[in-house]
Amino acid sequence: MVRVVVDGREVAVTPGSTVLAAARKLGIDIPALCFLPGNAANTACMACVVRRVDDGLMVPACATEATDGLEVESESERVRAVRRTVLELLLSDHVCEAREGATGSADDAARYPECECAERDVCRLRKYAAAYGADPRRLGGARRAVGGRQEHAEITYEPSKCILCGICVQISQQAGEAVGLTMIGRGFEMRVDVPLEGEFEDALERTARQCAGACPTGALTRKAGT
Amino acid sequence: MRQHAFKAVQIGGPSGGCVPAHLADTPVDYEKLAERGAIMGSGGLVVLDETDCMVDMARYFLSFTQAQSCGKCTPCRVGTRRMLEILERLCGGTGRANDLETLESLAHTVQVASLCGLGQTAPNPVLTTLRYFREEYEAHLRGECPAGECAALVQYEVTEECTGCTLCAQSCPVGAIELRPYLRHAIDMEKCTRCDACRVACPEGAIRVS
Repeated sequence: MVRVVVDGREVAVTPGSTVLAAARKLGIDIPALCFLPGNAANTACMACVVRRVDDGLMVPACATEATDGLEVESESERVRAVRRTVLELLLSDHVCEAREGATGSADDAARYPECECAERDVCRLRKYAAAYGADPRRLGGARRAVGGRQEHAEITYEPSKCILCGICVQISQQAGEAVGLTMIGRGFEMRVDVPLEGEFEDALERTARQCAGACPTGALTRKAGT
Repeated sequence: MRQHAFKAVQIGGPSGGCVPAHLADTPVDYEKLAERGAIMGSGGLVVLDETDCMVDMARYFLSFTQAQSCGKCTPCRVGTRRMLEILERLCGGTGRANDLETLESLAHTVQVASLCGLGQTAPNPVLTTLRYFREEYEAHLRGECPAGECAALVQYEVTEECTGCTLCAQSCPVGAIELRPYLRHAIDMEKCTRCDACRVACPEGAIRVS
């Protein structure tokens, strides 16, 4: 076992564990939006950053090995401020429109953000945005030019809700889907889509429902009755 | 040719930082440059004078690094884009009251939370110009570009000294000045690109920049 310290509390984990696993063992909830348990870290969302005490660097908890004697901060104000900004950046390019009259105030998690989305109750972006008091409009700006809704027999894909975590790409590739999903393009305009301009309905033969279940937002949702 | 005052040096390429003239004796080594907020980077030095706008310079270099972002991590993919949008607003004269605070905090987050060196260093030109030339940013918020470089914030006009020699109209590359021999000329600011050719061409010093 190796011993690490998170927010001043020591915990023992098996060698090779991540800081994220160590924090979870202590009951500390780190917003790891792009991490699929049991898989390699995607290090895409960067909402799970922790601060390494020895050198002061912010590192993603999902991809940082818990080495013996490592000490990190997770719930300090400076770490929370970075996570809050990262969540606000994700919200700024995520269709999660506030309803008329909603204040967007951080104080009232119950009415915030007022998503018009079918997946609002399971959306982890929404959950953490509320927990961190992230204001969805503070960093507003241009949105990616993504296409409209795409349909599959079992699931629906709404690209404007996708935060590019890469989990569905990971699941479809690991399952050996013949077509699968992939990241298309680069930079701000990157999107998850079917390779070689294929049809979304043909992309996922076996893992459609699994992808929808693991999607951290309402970008991939299961259809009723499937 | 008129001499211009030395203002700053951009060190280390687009991911480097801007060291102001009063710190020009900074030794070119890794640690000393890091203290100033710059990096060795490519080792390139771009010397800037009083006619160079520091906000536009930050915008220009960030537009390069933003376009280089691969898109994998959030701080770089979305953060550099939001920073660029703020800089474009400032240079376009449509800055908002809290833009400087937002830009500064965003730059800090992109620097500490990006996954790789591209995102971690992309905010350097912004952070160093904010640190050493904050008054230029504040001027842009008021709709002024002290260096006279941001096109949307600069106006050209022909004064009464104009003799109607037509040299300005002949030198204008975009046809923003109608050729009117012996009459006072006028500049169409809709067409004008603020290239400064007319002012340079005028033998009477009758083109005023404000």
